[in-house]
Amino acid sequence: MAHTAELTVDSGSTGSETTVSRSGKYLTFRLDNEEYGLEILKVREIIGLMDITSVPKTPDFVRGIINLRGSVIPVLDLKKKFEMGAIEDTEETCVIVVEVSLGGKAVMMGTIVDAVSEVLDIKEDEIEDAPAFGTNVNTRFILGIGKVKDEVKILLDIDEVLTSTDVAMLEDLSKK
Amino acid sequence: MAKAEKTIEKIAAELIMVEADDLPALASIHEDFIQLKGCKGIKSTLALEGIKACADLVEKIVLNDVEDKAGALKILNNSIVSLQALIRDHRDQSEVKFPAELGINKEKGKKGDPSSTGETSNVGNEAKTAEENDSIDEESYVIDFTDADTDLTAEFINEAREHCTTAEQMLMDLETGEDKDDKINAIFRSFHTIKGAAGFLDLRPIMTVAHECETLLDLGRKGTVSIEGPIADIVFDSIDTLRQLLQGTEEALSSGSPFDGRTAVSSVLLTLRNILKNPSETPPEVSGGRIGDRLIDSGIVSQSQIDIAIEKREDPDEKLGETLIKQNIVPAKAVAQALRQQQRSKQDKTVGGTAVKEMVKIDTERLDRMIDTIGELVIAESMVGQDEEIISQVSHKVIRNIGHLNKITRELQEMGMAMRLLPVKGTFQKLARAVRDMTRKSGKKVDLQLYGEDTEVDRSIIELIGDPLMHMIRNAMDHGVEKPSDRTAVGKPETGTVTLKAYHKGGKVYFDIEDDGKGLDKDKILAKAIEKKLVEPGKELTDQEIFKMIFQPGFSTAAKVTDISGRGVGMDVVKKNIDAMRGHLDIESELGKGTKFSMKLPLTLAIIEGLLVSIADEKFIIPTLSVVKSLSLTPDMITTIAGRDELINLRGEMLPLLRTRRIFGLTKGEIDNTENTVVVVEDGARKLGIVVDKLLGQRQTVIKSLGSTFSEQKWISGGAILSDGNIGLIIDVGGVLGLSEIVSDELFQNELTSDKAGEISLDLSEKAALEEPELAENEEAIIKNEDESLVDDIEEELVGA
Repeated sequence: MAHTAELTVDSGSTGSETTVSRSGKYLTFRLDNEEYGLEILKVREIIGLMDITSVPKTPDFVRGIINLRGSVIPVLDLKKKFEMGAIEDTEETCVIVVEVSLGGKAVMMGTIVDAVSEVLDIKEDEIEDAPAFGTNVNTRFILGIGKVKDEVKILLDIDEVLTSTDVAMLEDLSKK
Repeated sequence: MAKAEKTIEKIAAELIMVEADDLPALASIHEDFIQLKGCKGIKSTLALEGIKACADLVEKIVLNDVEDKAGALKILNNSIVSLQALIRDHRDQSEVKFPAELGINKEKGKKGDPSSTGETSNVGNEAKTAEENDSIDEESYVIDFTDADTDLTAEFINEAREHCTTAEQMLMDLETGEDKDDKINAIFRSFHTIKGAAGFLDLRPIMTVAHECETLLDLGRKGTVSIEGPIADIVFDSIDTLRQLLQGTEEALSSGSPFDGRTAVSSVLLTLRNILKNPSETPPEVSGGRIGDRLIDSGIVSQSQIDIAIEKREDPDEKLGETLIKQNIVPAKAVAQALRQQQRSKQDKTVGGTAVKEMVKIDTERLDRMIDTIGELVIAESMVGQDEEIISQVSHKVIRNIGHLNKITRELQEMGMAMRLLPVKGTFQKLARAVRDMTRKSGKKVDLQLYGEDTEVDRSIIELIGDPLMHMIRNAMDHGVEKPSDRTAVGKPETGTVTLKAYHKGGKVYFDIEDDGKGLDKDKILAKAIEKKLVEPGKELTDQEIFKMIFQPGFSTAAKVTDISGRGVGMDVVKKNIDAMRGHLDIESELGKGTKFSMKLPLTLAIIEGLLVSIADEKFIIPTLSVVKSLSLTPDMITTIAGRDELINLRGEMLPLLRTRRIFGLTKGEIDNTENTVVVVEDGARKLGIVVDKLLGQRQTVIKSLGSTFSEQKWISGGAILSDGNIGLIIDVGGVLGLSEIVSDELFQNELTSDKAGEISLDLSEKAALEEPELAENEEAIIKNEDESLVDDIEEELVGA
């Protein structure tokens, strides 16, 4: 994958682990030209794009449902969710299956991304809090901004992103 | 003497190795002690007494009559040292002291034997604490799991619950049936097993209750008391108490905090003990009898031999096994074997580790996972079997092999399904018990007749069916069946009959609950419904429609207050439960004659039988249970109202037509204005025509929950994994039709006119999940009852119009 060349694996920082939970390994992926990251521990698997059964009358960022070896899991389109336009399905398009906690229960969900990049070890001192953008950008989905070798990774709070689906995003949308 | 020495060395060695819960080994030690006692060379009386005391203590450990087993083993070990000194080293009796706890010294003291030098025991005899302490307050009923084996306890809870059920059933049969002795024995055994295992796990309150009740039952076995009427009630109470305690134990187990069973036990224990005091005889020894049973079972002795032996024995405290050996009726080895066997079987039951005869217990989660995997196998199989490339090979061999694979997969699937099936017997028994209790309380005479107890139903259904059935039976008894005096007044037999039937018909399972009580009063229900503004006055309703009013939430309580027939306490809950199982509930009733509720349920919740249809290239499943019929649609069948809302005339019945393509907002596929198939679905009394593109046939599919993400999409009840591995959405007919059936007729009045468009001026961008309460008032039925998602569609229509 071409984009992986953009980033070299972070090897320089050998500093001791900080106690803040944000440092750790992140799976980075691409939406358009932006790099995002989500905690690797949440990731269950990465699968290629498969047939997705759409569910009518759902918000458009809900792409549908897939049959993952016998269990039905919903698949969300992150680009639609972030209003970055729709994802064009290419060979690099994949579904990251994550386990999020929804109402105290572990739930599997899929999220479609343009491409998966790599796994990065990001230290706490490389992570900055998300700056306030004003009202347009909802920063509660953002865990922090990771800066690794001049590259900026937007670290997502995937629980928040995926589980706030029904209510929060809708409210945001309807206010526009 | 040599033999005695050898034996005692053997016992010493064994004692060092043995664990308190190694019952076979303990039984073997017991046997050795008996053997030792029989050795000729032992002259010391103290040694003989010591041996006897040790043997007794071992037996007590084995029989769970000792609280602190490890402590008891220690005592044994110390005693062995003394015995060794006496027997092997030929020490003088005065030099040797047995541990005080063994009890010989104490006994000696009583008899004034000067050789007793031991301090008076304040520990007391470790055994029989339960029997000796009469005051409940002195006993500890706290169950603490700080160092207990939680796995074993959990296993025990399950086992004990089963025993409770068995005992309860037997007790009920006992009151009516024959073979009383067998049944009392069976109840006795259940209690005994619970007692033994509870003792083993140190669950004191459970053990105590089981023990006392067992003693009572033993009196029943001997004919001292008759297990019926009030005595049977006490046994029932004991079972209930045990259940409570088990519940408490289970909760304590999961929470980790100790559980104090005192309040639960106190009343029943007092009753039990009072009764046990009353019979002139003292509660006889219970543990010995079982050894007798064993021995009889194995054909070594007969009951009469045992009876004689018991009569002949001098010491009433003596164990039966010993008596039998002493009187040379059975060889000691046989007793020990019986003892060992007995303990082994007990251990099997408590530990559950080794295979129990006919049943293997499987973690339900594992079973479900296996059934899931079989489901996937079926899909994989059909994907291979229906693969065009493979089929086009036209190789006879390949086709044959695929056929074989198909057959095996189907078989496996059926087996998987069968594994989940359970007979409804257990549920029925609970109901029988409830009826028994209620007849006693209410003073009504009711005969509950059960049919089809062996009908097998999926486990998931069994779990869900109990409450609704209980509710309906209770209703039938409370409100259906009249008081005996009222019954005789109208010429009915004094005893009312409530019939509960379970049976299979056409791939469904039916539960019928029928009573010969006073029936539902249509007029009163209707009046109430009108009063509650559920129906408009003067409207013609069918009987079914009227009866179904009782399912309205809040209808029941109000009805009760105003003293209508009163039927229907919480019937809305019953209806909801049945709906959740994708079932139907029908009511037939005739005033004065009785009422019949008929419940129709799917065999399993895991598989749905449905009609596979395609709408705009998407596949949907309509549950067969809801499908009335499907027919070709011709334009002349359609009547429009206000140019939009379509109705079809189905043999004089006007049904609203649902254009799914439009309602679901599907755009893919060829838009064909002459969509030509209508599937008529029903939910209760309401019917609706769903327009589809194509019927693809009937399918049995594994139903999968879509999870909470799609909980707002009330018109889908789940996903079905299709033969190609893709998912088809299962249409929830109830959701599509709306939950309320009352307002269905409003459709025909059709008040949806264009002025409503103003009312629903919602923001177009609003999505499915939005609540819009103000709509509810004046909307036509279909909008009112639909998922809100339909709102913007209709609105779009209106805007477009």
